[in-house]
Amino acid sequence: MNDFFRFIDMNGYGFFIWTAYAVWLFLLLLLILKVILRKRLIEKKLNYSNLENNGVNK
Amino acid sequence: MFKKLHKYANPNKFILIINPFRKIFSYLAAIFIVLGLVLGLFFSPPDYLQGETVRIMYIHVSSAWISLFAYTLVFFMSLSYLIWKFPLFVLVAKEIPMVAIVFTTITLITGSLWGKPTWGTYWVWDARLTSFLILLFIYLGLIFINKTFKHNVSGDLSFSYLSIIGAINIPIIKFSVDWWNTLHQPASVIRSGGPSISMEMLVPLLIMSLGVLLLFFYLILTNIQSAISEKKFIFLSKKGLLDE
Repeated sequence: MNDFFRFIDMNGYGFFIWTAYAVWLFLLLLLILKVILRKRLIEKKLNYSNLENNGVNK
Repeated sequence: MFKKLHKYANPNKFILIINPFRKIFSYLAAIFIVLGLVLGLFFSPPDYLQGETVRIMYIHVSSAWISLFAYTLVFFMSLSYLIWKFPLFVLVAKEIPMVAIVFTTITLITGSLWGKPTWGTYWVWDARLTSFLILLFIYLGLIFINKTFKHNVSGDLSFSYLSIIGAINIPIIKFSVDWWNTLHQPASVIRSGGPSISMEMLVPLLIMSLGVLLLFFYLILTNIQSAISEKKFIFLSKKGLLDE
C-alpha cells in the first residue's frame, strides 16, 4: 500500500504529473469521440442502404 | 507518376483504399500508447535533475512532435494543391488542423504543468513557448477559414495561402531554443550529434510518439472519409437523389 501511495505522490510532484496525464487523456478521448461521431452522423445521413437500393452509391 | 495517382482521385476508390489502414492504425496506436504509458510511468527512471516530473515528457514531447509534423503535412498538401489543383490535396489538408489543434493544446498545457516545478512558473514569454502559442493561433485561423468558406474554391485557396504563410513559424519553433536565450531546454532527441537522453527514457518516448502518430493518422483518415461522405451528401442533395 505504501508503494502505491509513493507512486501516486511521485516524490511530491504528483499533482503536476497526474494533472498533465488527465488533461492529455481527456482531450484525446474527446477528440476520438468527436471524429467517430462525425463519421457516424454522416453515414446515417447518407442512409447507405437506401442509396444502394437506388443504385447511386455503387 | 501523376497518371498513377489519378486513379486514386476517385473518392469512392480512395475510401476503399484507406479503410483497412484506418483499422490497422487504430489497433496499433492503442498497443503502442499503452506500452508507452506502462514504460514511461513504471519502468523509466526519474531524471537526475528534474526528478519524477520528467514523466510529463512522454506526453508533452510526443504531442509537440505531432503538432509540428501535422503542420508540415498541411503545408505540403496546400502547396501541392496550389501547384497541381488536385482537390484531394486540399481536402486532406483541411482535415488536419482540427485534429492538430488538440495536440498543440495538449503540448501547451502539459508544458505549463512541467514548467511550474522545473522553472517555478507556468508560463513565460520565451521564444519556444510564444512560437508554439502562435502555432495554436495559426491552426485556429485555418479552422476559422475552413468553417467560413465551406465547400468553396476561394476558401480552399485562402486556406492554402494562409497555411503556406504560416509555415514560416515551423523552423522558428524548431530553432528558437538555439537562436534565442530561452528557459526551454535545447533539443535533446532530434539534434546533430544524436540524442542526449538515456536509452531508458528514449525508448518509451519513441514508443509513445509512434503510438500518437498512428492515432493521428487514424483520426485524419477517419476525418477524410467523413469529409468525402459529406461532399457526396451535398452533391446528392443538390441533385435531389436523396430520400429525405
